[in-house]
Amino acid sequence: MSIILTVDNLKLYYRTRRGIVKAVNNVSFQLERSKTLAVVGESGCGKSSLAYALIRILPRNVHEYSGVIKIDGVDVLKLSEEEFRKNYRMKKISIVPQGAMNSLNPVLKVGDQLAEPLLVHLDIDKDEALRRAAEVLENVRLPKALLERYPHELSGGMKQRVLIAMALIMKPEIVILDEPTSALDIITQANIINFLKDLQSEYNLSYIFITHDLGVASELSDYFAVMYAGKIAEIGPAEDVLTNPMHPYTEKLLKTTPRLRSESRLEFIPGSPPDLIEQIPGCSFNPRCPYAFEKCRTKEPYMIRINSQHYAACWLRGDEK
Amino acid sequence: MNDNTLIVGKDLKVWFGIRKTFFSKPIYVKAIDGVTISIRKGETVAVVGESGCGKTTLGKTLLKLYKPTSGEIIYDGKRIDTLEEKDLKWYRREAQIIYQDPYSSLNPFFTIERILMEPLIINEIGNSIQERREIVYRALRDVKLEPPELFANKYPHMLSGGQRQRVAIARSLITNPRFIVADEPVSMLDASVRVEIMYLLKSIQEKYGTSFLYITHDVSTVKYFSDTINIMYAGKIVESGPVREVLSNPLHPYTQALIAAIPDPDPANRKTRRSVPAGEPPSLINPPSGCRFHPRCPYFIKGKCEVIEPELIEKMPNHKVACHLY
Amino acid sequence: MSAAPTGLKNIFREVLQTKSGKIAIIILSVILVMSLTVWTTGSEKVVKNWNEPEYWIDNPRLAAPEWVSWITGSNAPRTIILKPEDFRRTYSEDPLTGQATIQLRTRFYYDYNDVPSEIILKLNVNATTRSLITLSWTKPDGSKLEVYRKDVSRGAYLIFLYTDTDAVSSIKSYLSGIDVSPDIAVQTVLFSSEASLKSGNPKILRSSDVNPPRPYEVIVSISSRKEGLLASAQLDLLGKVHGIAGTDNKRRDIFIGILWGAPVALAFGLTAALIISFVQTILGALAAFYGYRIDEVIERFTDVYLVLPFLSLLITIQFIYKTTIWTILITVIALSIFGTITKSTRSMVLQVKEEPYIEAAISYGASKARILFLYILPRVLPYTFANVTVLVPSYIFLEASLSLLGVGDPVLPTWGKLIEEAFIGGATFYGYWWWILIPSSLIILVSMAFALLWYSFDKILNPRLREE
Repeated sequence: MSIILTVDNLKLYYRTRRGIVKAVNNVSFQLERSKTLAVVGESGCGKSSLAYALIRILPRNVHEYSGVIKIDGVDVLKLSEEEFRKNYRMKKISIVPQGAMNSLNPVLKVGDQLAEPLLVHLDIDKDEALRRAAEVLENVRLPKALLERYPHELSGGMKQRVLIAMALIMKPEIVILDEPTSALDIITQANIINFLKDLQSEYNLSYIFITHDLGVASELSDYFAVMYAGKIAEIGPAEDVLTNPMHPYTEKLLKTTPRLRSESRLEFIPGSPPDLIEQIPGCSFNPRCPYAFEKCRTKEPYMIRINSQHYAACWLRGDEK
Repeated sequence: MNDNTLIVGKDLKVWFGIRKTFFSKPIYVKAIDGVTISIRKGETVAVVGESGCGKTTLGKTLLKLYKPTSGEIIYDGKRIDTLEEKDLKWYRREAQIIYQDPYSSLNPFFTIERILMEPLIINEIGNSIQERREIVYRALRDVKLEPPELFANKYPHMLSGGQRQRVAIARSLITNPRFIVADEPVSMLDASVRVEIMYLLKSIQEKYGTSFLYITHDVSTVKYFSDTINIMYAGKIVESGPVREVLSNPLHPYTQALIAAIPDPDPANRKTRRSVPAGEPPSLINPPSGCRFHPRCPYFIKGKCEVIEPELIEKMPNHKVACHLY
Repeated sequence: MSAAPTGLKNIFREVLQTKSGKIAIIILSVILVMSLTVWTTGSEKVVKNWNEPEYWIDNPRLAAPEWVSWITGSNAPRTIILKPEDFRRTYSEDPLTGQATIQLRTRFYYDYNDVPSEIILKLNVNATTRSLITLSWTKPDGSKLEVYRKDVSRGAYLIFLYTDTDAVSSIKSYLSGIDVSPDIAVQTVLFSSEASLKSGNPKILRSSDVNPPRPYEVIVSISSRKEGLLASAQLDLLGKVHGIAGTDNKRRDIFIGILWGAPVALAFGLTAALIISFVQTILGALAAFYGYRIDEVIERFTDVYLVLPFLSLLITIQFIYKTTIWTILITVIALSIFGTITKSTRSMVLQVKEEPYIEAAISYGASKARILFLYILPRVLPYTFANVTVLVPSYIFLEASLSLLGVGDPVLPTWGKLIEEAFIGGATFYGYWWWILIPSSLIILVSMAFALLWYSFDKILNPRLREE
């Protein structure tokens, strides 16, 4: 069980006209080598911001960006922008961005787009870069002929695979997948998931899988981190979190998921997820929580230990750190 | 067809013509290529399929937002496919639509009250502003946006996605329609809000006896809000029947693949690979010959499946399927 | 998310909050106030006065603005008008001859560093026979001379002292009388001390050069038979600087010209910009919304119009027909009903047309016309207004260009006309810079105001997409 990524007290706040958005608000977790961590939550909970905080692609209006991100023991947050760009981004950790359908440049051929990161980061010529691009296309089970095609000639599933290829081309160890299947059809989605499973075992990749769909997340993930209002509400092995959730939000979230194969009655959570600008005193979930009591309204819970790997930020679970 | 039927689409074809250049012959995107569907009064019929299979086109055609290239639409005993827009004013009160995207289906320049009043004004419902306002408030209460006075004066951008979708539902109800097409009404909403909206639709159906056409790609929601399910593939219906029947006993290989592909949140999932057919849904300009699913079908029978198109036959009571295996 | 809805009122409120918006509104308000002077005077009077020389007779010709004198410290002379009421009248009769003499005396202090540009004596004489007019001039140093002596019949006279033959010969006699070369100009003689004249180095004599300061005195006497003898006089000592903007070669106060030209500039610019923008917008919206044939027709017309040599056509038409400003306006509009705004509105409407809420409107029975005017146009209008803002200065320029080329409105005092007359009057050659620069600066100022307004419009209409 070797840890490849450690995140400690990560904060990413944005400045906007209306106030400070605390998108990532003190997030901590660890990722083991060759394993998958799912980061699940509803829209606006901060999970995409977390992805961009990890890969350090930040917008201009950043108010605060602090904490510890250790990749293979090195705290990359302390590195300069240039150093991170040269040695880590795309090389050690890469991202398959959300909205895959629109992430490819429509006026460049697929081959040129794949080759670009190689030309930027490595000292090789165009032919060598295209050769490696062909190689990685093979890895994602796409024909070499696609190098000459334009993105609009590809189907949705193919485009997604090209994006995964782009994320893999520098042979990183950690891959962040930001909603990789939400724009795809169900069957194509299942195909991509199978494909991601194969890639993981073939190349020993560690995944961070960001999605709002608990079902799809369970297809790949060994660990689950449930995010709410910029913070992690619960984190633990898939078996524990999915079958024995310890945070009321996780419990409710599972109950709102329609299931094909079981007859449970669906519930819904009244109210809506909070704005990341307003800060709710105490536990962020307390206004919508059916089990809220006095302490929840005043003191913000920290991660409380359930067992060696399972933690939940909820006062119901005692107060052992 | 019996007296209980509200709307029937018979052998509907909707082909969109596009020209590559000014001089070439037009080619057709065969969005719907021979679909028969019927909806009874007070029934919810689901149409399920992947994107591009024609389900949205079907819904909009039944509403006469698209003109069918051929086929019939019979509503409450009257043929409406041949009617021109000017003769359809009465139909615009009877049949409504709820869109998928709550962010662009409401006019951003109108207040909620104005958005809801427009259908009343156009259809001349209500004799005064007071009367219309009352109807608007009643609709807001029906969708649980209370107090109505508070919401009436807001603009759409001030509401959350779930609230906007409620307004869209209120708008679809306000003329007291008998038939509503709900086009992926919850797919753009958060998970925790989806269920709420689906229960709302169900309670509206129970209260007003409206018929619904529920279009979705998410099979797992269907059993919470539908009586009958139709599976569409490449512009044709490949299987139809009561929801529980089809979901527990899928006959068509495509339906089976769809169901097999859907993950429930189960930690055991990661240990297995799902067996699903490779490939993607075909282009609607030049669909595969014979059975359109044949290039991806695990039960492909050479010489038969790529030549003859299977008919939709009733294999079990009310359970129809179009496949040569049967 | 799409831009938050902004009704027109909200937009204007926001404009006023931006710095550029504030400056623009201030400039435009000033211009608007300027335009009000025409309204108070009445436009026919404006045209009449502008073209009537008598209205301006009391102004100097080609005088620079007064503030030039302050800036350069040259203390250039300003106009001094001694009206009939400024003259003290004495009447005397000689009972023996039956002759009467009216003496009109006046005085003025003169402390400028330069002589007046012109001195005009306006005389009104009513008598039964001929009268003898004399004008005597006393300077602060006490020296006195007779400037004018003439025998005239009754009537109204304008005597330009610097150039009048009788005045010139009187001066010449005076100079020979004091033994000075007679080649010195009238104005120099009138305003130099006798001592400096004799010394051969004439220097201007100011009232304050004497202690205590003494004024210049002028006595006009009119002698004739006493029956019905009446006379009045006015003495205009026209300065070399005048007003806020100086004068032109027809003695017209350029500042008044600017005031009277302001509403023309604004009205022309605004009317043209508004009508053209709106017509083009509606045509673009119709093309996009109804599509097919209508779209084809409108698109082809637009293409043709875009290729038309607009300015050349306009100049040619004007040259041949020489029309007034309203006809110019109509011609400009007729030559611009299709244009780039048609195309950009069309593409905007093509996009908006695809939005679900438009299709939803069809589903609840809205007619196409209703959708176009109530749903789509309000979305497009803010951009139309922004376009109007950009276009106004172009049309102001256009009108000025036409005037400059001599094919604008023949009688109205437009800013372009002022510049044209400046060129014809040789302003560039002789250096009458205020005549050109001041009207030009105003055109530029107004254009800048609209550009600033457009800039703040742009900031308001776009940033919501950028910031949040």
